[in-house]
Amino acid sequence: MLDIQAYPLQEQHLAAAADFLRQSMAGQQRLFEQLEAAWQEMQATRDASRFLYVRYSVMETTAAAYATRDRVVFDAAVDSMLAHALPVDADWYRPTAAQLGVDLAVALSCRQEGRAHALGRQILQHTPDDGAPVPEDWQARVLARLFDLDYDGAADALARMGQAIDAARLPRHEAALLAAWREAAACVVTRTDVPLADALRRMSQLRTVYVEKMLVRWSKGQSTDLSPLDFWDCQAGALAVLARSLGLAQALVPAELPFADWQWTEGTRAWA
Amino acid sequence: MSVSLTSYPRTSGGGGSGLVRFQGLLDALAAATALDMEGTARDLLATLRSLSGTMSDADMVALAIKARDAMAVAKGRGWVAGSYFRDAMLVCASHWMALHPDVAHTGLARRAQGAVASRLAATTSVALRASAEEAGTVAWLYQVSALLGEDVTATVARAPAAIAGTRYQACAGGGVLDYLECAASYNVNQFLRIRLPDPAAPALVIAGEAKGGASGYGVVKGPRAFMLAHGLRGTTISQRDMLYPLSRAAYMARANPADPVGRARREAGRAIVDARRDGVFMYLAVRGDIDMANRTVAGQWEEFKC
Repeated sequence: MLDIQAYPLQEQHLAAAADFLRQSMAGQQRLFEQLEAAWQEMQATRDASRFLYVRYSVMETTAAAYATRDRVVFDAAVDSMLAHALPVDADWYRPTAAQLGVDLAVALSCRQEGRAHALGRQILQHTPDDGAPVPEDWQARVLARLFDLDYDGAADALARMGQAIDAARLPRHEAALLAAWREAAACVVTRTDVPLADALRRMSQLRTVYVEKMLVRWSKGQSTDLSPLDFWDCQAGALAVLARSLGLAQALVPAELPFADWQWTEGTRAWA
Repeated sequence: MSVSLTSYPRTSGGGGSGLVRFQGLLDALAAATALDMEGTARDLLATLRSLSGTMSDADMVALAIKARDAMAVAKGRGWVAGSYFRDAMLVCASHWMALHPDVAHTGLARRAQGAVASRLAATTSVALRASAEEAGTVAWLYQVSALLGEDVTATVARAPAAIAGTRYQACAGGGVLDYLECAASYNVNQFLRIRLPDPAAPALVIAGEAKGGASGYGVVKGPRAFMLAHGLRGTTISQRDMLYPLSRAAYMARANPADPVGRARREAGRAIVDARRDGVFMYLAVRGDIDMANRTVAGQWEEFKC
């Protein structure tokens, strides 16, 4: 049963959203077996390409399950994704901080503390100037620093994230989302409550506007850059969880933040 | 072209004991009875190659198809990690091309002549480009026929029909899309599905890029989350990269079925996504051009990867 009514989408978009998300849930029964097979293949061939691809599908399924409030699939997908970690110790593949940052956001959103600690350490092992960092690399470092209670380090990473956003010349929607996330993270760094809630609400509004716009295009048969991931902002969820752990969450109202509902993800099955 | 392995002499003539070994390995792989499936697949490929100089081209094509199918089933069902079926297809192509050395020897002859006629009649750069693109498509179909060991214009891509008056063309069998030629951005150029003898195994899927004339390979961006997941945020994907068709499939799989071509795009996109997850997806990029001296289309593959 789809339950996207939890989202503040206009009535005329709900059916399209349900349709769109249902597509992403199709075939998920085999997906976790395929991830395991791709994991085995990666170990044998030292080629991560298929593994990364299947893992991306799992992430999308996780988001679709979140958006449709399908607890069973959500738990299984989170388990599958975190159990099949990115290959961090291989000499033939090294994930970027941004890739690890997505996992960290998922782990934090779902209160997988042990996994979050491991990911945070891995992210911080990346030297800040590895390659050409993109905003999401710095975003990962902000989360890792905050989780480590290193506020100075988080503030520094936030500043670098701002520079990276300016340098990246991103589409307006992406730049606005990252800027709002950065603002929310800055509130966590300084432990200020009300502006944090405002920033998170703004992110939710940005997502709503974007999703509705894309659903209109999709309904007309036009190409869209819409993904189930647009229905689950695990980066915002991770911030909300961190804020909550610091006692800053009084102002957060889950009903207004469906894209980052930290309460719904709380009951996620524990991962050993 | 149908060959029964049991019809071959076992101790004399072409193949001999190599053929017996081939059959044994094929059986072990197909029934998943080998203790070392990976080693069996490798041995099967080596045996296939070793038979190459001893058998006729037609027989080698038949053997290569059998090997391909068994290896693809083994891969799709998770019994082996390696994509050995790709190598079997390369063996197949070399022998099939010996039998059908150019497009004139295939069902593509008429379409190739159409491309030549278009080129001769072209007076604008747009018309020239269109004829080159058609040559690219003809060359792609020829190359994929070679790799599959069958003239696809007589089988899965036989007489494709235009979809709802668009430039998209498709062939379906039993309600399942087998072939699609796309005509706009956010798509792969070609989609082809090959069903395997084992109904429990996922079908092989080949997506293609057909380049005409001297047109270069471009770069594209994929969906944001897709790029991030592959560690490519801030960069682009080359049309020669395996991620190129997969990024296009990400768009195609979400096409709205209400659109006249949306249903076919979505089915093809989903098939690509599924095949990649199952490890039985291939990307084939081919360049074709019009050979004005011989008034035909010639081409070669430039990327063929799993």
